[in-house]
Amino acid sequence: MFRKACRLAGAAGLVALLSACDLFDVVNPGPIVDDALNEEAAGKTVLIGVVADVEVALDNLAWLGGPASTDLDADATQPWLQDAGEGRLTVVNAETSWNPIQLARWGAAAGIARLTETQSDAGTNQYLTAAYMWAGWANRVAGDNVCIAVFGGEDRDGDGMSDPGEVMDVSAHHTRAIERFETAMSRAGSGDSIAVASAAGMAQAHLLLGNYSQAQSLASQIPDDFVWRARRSNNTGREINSVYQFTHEGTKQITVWGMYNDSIGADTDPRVPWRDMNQTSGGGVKPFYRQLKYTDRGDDYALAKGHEMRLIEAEAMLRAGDRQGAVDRINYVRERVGVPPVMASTDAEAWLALDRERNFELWLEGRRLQDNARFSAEGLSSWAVAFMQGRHSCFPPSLAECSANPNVTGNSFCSQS
Amino acid sequence: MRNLNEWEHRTLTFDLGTTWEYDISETMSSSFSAGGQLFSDWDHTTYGSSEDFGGPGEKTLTSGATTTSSEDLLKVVNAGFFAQEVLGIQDNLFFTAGLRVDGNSAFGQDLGLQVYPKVSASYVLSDAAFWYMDWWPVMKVRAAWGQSGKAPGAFDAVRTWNPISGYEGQAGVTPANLGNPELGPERSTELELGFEGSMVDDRIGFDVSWYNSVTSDALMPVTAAPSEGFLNSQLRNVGEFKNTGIEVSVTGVPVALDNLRWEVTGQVSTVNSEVLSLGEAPEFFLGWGSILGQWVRVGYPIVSLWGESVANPDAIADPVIEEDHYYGPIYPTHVLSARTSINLFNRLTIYALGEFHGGQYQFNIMPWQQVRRGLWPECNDLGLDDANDTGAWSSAPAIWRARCQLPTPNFDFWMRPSDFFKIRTVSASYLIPDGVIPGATGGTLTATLQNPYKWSKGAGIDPELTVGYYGGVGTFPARYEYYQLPAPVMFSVSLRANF
Repeated sequence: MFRKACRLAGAAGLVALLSACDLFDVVNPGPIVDDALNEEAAGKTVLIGVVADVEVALDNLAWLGGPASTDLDADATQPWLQDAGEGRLTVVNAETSWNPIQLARWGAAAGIARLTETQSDAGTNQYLTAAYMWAGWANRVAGDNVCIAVFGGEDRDGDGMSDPGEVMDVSAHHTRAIERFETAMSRAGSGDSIAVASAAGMAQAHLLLGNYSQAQSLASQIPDDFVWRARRSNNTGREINSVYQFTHEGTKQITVWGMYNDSIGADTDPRVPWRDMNQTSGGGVKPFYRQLKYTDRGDDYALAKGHEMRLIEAEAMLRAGDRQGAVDRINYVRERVGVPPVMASTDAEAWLALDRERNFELWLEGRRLQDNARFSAEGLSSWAVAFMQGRHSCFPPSLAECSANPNVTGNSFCSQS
Repeated sequence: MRNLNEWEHRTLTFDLGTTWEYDISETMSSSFSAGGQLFSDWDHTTYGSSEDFGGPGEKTLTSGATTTSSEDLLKVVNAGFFAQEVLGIQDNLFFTAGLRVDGNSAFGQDLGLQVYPKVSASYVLSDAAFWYMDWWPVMKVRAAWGQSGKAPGAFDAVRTWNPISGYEGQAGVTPANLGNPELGPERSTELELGFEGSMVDDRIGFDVSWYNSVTSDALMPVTAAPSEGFLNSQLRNVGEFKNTGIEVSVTGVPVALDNLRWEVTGQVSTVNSEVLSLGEAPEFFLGWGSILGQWVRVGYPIVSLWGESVANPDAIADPVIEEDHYYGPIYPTHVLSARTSINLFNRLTIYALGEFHGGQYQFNIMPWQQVRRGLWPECNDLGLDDANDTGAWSSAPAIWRARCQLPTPNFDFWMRPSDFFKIRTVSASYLIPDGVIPGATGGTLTATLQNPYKWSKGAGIDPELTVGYYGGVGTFPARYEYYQLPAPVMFSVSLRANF
């Protein structure tokens, strides 16, 4: 009996000894705990994250938006990618489009909130200024591609808890983009590159909201050579240009074959370079014509360009009835690029020329889905009208959003199939 | 490209137990046990990759133009102690009562230690005075009830951000885990009833169990709304689910002669799972994205397969599409296995093992691919590889019109039953007498044929090719029959000698 009591006491002592050393201490580095970012010194890290998430979202929309729009066709081994190529934008392929841009949109908003709280010079802090601009880009990119706006993760009822986002018209993204760009522009001061980029972003958003004169006015402030980029890099897999990767590496599941840029020939316009590889695409059905706009993993995407601004001016002119002025703006861009001018003796020809010029300028930049949709819906471009027959015009909320957000469950876009 | 991947795992196990046995009376005994265990797991992974090498020679991580690296460190500590009393009456009736207290480094501050009780009883019927069947010498019945738990992962409760590389390699963060400060362990309560025995001089043995396990506060990866910023599922304690089933094992020795012995063992196990409640959580899907159609829904098995289906599969008509159709569970509901061995002259043993898995449904992406290319036999046999063959299409059943639709069929129509039977192993083993191999005291010559036969519902290569879609499926099987090879049919001969 005494011996057993001694054993038990010994065991208890051993446990106490183990407790005294670090055996029970668990310190796991790796994922960064949220509170750790509430330090002033973490400001730059927060901003870099905001920027990187927007760039990743644009990367996803550039390559998946390719087969979803007039940019490319798909010949895929993955059903959801093939669906995109055939114009079926569903809750399934929305997971590669809706989800990343939602993360980026929320991340930018959360970054602004955190930087406002943590930066002692919040009124003038450069990270905060940049975060406003990237929040603008996140909303502009979202507005160009998704069907509805859902601003989740915000405390709307004031109870200190974030609420599921409610369904709003997609134009809310462009409206919010303008608000964010305006803040960034006013904080940056005139002449600053962030101010110029924000003005360009506002011009894009106003155009899609139908505020053509404001879009024209803002576009006119942007120099011809201006380019604001979403950076890509060979540094890590997350930073790779996916359009390049899907057309130069791996299974080559998206092709120029059968698209308008195929029909005009490989060397017609330097902005839409491609090559017949004399191969079958990844899906084994269609010829593989490789895009050559991006020829390196680290090639950047343009978020805004001076040339696009000239085309915004052209569209505003065309809508205002100044056909010749619009054609002149188009040909101004074409002359700078080194391709022959276009002629348009009717408005229909002018709209078709503008549609095709935007195709050349904005090819593989995640922009053309919105163009296809609006030029088709308004009957402006015969090319867009023909292309959009039986195709979806935007990415619906993903199945994750449809199933997890009670405000979105049952939305008609959730059954887009 | 050069990759270096190092994984270091340390497990520290501390186990202390003591038992105090004593006789309370001539007919009653007691055995009291107490003790504790501690498990500390430490995983350290480092990864380096380098590419774009400037010239010939041995490649190192530092000689490439582009290098990447990563490091993960994770430590998890589980600790607990227990106490148990076993009371024996007349050495054939036993009662057990015990208590286990567990702690886990991921439990969080509010949760503290978890207490899991258990009780059980067993009775050796064949030792009772009324048992008169000499040909059935061993018969025991048992019943057990107990609780157990499963802890969440080390980071599941907290909101975290992943470090990432941003512009020009600068450090940034991206949302990782939404977090759930109320996260706790899940708790399973299981009732098991069973009996076991042997008869006819051990020529027949059997073991039968029935169990009913109810898991409450089940830890499940609930889909989070992406608009709230986090794309990963949120681990939550959601509702209840149950698993009920039987396990039967019967062993027989039909022939037992001096120079011939034949043994046969058959096993049957069934599992019927059902989600009883999801609490306040909405139904959610699992696996990589929603394409797999694998959902957790109340009233259905955990996990169940859903998708569009054809409501008039056998009709010679256009398919009538049924949205959100329940196909079935993704895991087998019954597994049957049989193994047999024949021993001749105490030298030669012939052994075979076969297994049947049934009741599960899986999608199969391979036919979807091949239909697009006009290369799927089930469609080609019906003439449905030609979109312009109106005769073939008009005479085809609706299900095949849907499955073979050109240019691209709906993927859901290729969700099908995935029952299969496989002969896993057939072998012959011969004991080599002493002296046959010079210097050796015997040996064994074995010829083994692995995976010689398989059958499965629905065409395909191998229903067990179920690794993940972009590696994300993990434990949720989906039939994915390309980019990987099935288990090969393999014949091997081995010789072992004892020196």
